[in-house]
Amino acid sequence: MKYFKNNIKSGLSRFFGRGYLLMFALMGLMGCTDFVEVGPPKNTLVSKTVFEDPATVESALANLYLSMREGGVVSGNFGLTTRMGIYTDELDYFGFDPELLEFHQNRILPQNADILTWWSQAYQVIYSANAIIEGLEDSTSLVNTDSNRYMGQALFVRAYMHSVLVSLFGDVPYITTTDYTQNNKVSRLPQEEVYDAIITDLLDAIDFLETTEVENEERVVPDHYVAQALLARMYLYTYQWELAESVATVLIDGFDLEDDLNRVFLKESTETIWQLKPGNSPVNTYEAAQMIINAVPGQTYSLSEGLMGAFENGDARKVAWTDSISDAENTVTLSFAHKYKAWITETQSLEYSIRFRLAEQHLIRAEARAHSGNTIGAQQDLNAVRNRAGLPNTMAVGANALLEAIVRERHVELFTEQGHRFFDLKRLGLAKGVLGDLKPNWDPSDVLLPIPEAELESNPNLLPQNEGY
Amino acid sequence: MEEKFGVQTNTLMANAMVSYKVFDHVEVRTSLGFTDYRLESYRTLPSSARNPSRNLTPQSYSNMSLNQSQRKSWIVEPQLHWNREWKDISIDVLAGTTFQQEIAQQLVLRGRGFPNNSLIENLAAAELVESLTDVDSDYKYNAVFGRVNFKYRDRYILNLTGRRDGSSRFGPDRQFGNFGAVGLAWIFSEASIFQDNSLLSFGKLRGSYGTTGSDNIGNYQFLDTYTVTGDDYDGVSVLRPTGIFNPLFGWEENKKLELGLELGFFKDRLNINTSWYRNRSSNQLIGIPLAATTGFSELTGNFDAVVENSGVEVDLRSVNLVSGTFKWSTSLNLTVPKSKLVEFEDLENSTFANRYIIGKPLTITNLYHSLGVDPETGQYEFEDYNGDDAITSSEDRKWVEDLAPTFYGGLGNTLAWGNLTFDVFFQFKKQKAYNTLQFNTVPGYPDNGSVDLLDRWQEPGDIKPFQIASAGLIFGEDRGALQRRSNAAVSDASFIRLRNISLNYKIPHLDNGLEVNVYLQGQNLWTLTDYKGPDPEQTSNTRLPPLRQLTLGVQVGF
Repeated sequence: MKYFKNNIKSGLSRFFGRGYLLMFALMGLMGCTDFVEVGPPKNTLVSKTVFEDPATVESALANLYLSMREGGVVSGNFGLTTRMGIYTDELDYFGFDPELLEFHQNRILPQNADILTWWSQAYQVIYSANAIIEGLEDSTSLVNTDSNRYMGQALFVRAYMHSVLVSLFGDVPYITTTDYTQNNKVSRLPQEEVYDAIITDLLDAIDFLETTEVENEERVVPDHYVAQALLARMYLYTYQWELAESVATVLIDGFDLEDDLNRVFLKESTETIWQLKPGNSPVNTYEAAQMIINAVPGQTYSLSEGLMGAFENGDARKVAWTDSISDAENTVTLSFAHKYKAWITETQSLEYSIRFRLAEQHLIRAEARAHSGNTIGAQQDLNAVRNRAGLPNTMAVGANALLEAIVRERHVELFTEQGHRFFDLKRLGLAKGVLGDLKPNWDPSDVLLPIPEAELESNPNLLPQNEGY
Repeated sequence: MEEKFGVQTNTLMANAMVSYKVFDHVEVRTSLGFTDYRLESYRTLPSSARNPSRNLTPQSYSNMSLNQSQRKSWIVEPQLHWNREWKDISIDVLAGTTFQQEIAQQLVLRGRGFPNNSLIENLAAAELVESLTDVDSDYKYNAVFGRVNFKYRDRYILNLTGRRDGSSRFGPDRQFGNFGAVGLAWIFSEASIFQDNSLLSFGKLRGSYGTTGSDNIGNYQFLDTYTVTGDDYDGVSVLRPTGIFNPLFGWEENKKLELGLELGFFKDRLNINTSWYRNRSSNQLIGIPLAATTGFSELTGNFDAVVENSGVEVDLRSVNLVSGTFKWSTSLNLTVPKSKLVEFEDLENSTFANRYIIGKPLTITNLYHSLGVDPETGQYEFEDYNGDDAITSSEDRKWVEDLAPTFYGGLGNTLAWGNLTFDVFFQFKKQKAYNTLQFNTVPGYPDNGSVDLLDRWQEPGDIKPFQIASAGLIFGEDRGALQRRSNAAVSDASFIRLRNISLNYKIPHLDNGLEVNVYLQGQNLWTLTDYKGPDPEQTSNTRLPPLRQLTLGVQVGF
């Protein structure tokens, strides 16, 4: 043992005696902290710097509009227009896509992939809006007019996405933070409170947007008018007639109905309040690609007979906004919505995807006025829409008759536009009466879609599932 | 046919090792490595490849995309090595450090609108050239490490290792992690009491305990960033939040305990190696699923739960018979793996509530409990666990199956007789897997299905395994989707498979120095299984199962 110890000692001392230089060389490299620090990659920007410059904040906002245009519930390709059209009495469906069949048969399963996409994508846009709101709150280097404009736009987007979610799913979480620890376990808010939160956000958005000039010649970004248009709709949905009337009035004073039906959906239309601008390819709308039938069979859905029969005699909209196509043997004729006319291969940009337009505001005000007893005013607004379609003044006189006339008018004015028909039937309690006869599987609980199953599994606080699923 | 795709890759690899003996027992070594990989590809989409009825022109449609990628990495690893041997003792010391960097770049350009389709490969001829992707990433890694190996009389071995790893994938102050291990071995057959034992020829007992780290996640995940997507809205380029920002993650640490026993009998004609291991991790780096209300589907972070993987491995080799030029040997290996979730705080309220169970493996799957087909209605029935008269995913998928194998292994035999060698190798595995019901449970759907579906319910009173025929479209009456996710869709998929069999003949004594082997080989020739599905090893119906192969070959060496 002694021998062994001595050897170790001498070995080590010789090593340290003569090798200390080498040791130092190695020690110098130990734990080289600087070496393992890297800068961000060139295709990213650190969040803090995004909110120091107006141009990059606008880029973050552009993401919201692009996301809404390209996918999810408010998009023209996978959104409300086709699916809720099939779900209600606007579109007949004759395809075999299982997801769409579930819409057609009013038997949407909680596993439906479209429903999950709608839900997830909406909350993704909401996250991005909240990230902008938080970024702006912490930013010190933006001038007020810029900051207010961006804040107003982000608040509007947050309210808009929630407004669609609450209309489809009923009680939903209202997300106002980017904090995932909270959002991961969030509970559903009763729908009345969701509407309150939407209205509060919109009022704030309008306050912010009214202090600043939004350059918006093409009406492709939200300004205070856009927020007011949604606000009027929300007041209508929550039966606040006087407020709905006064807000709709702001828009009716600010915009003009397009006289020519064929110009209503052009990008220069004077009645457009907000539209999503298409990108480089296609340069026109997804709505046209979804709705127009070029050949038989072209799409798996077509305008229903019920809708085609809902047009009064002489309604110019039937000619201007719908069309039909037959197969070579003339055995099948399919009707289709022809509001947007520029087909997807059209290289000239003619139409943008409209989300809010003045005709809806006239109909909102008509309904609000009828409810508050101003039947003359209600008639005026209704007639504005009717006359433009080449129809005579309404014959409806009493409030109830007028309200019925307004629903009929909404049916033929707003068809295949962002699920208006479904939301109207639902909020007016007409769904069972109208769809119950047409659709064999219609249940009263079908006025709400199921919360996606994957979500209930990820976050049990969202339980229970909506009734009927 | 007119759409073309071309790709060219170049790879340069260089490695060098420099060593210098500074003193008698001290050596300095440095290994160096450099890799450069470049890829260039293009894809053309001419208008002439599209349906003529769409009236596309080269100007309106034709486009070409060009992808240029590059990956460059280098590594430098200087080491200092000292070793010394005395009569009974030998010591081996190593210290070193590693520097490593990996840089990746990608640029994708697209040109659209060409005057003529024959110019489509020339980006300069495009009317509009867009840059779709322009990204780069940088990864840096640095480590210092040391190892001491101590041997006493070739019987007792002690091994100590320690390392400090740094990675650029972690945020400030979290880049470094310390890891270490200690190992002990005792070769007890060297002890005097065994010296004369003719039965035991080799015996070694070893044990080790240590920690290892992992930074196996993407780069830059700790940064709160916006990404340029390459799209624009109304002329404004788009910046998108990259992901949920979580700066608070660091090295994953795995604690590993291992014990092993190596035995040799009859002058090493029979060798048995047995080992037992237990790995525990309490901070695995994974994509933690999030509810969509967070805006994202997952978050990169340390998984705050204790996961344990343990197992026993046995490896046996024996030479059964040697007689003249005849030799028969056998090898057998067996692995019995186990895993379980040991600890998970607040599991019920997490996004894993419906996926994991404490005490069970992470490989479990939750299923409905199928009760077969109702003889009256012809519909599949399921157990209603919560008794609410509805079968819901979150409440009634309570049947638990584990799809990880219980054990697996292989058995090989080799018979050699002179120049003739015969090899046969069997593989076996005990496991459960999704069976053919995962694809289709409803007769009548316009789709290819199993012939079993013909055995369907047709009229009240029928007791059949498959439900009433339906095109899969009648909601509420068609519960095929639930059946697909029920315990009926999971069944035994254990198998014994003749993985490989070969006969080799080496032609003897060729004067010209040529070495010639003739062989006949068969792979996957025979399987014993009760599995109801495509293949117990490949349970998907869209992917190719292991093929049966027969090979007759000649191998010539000169």
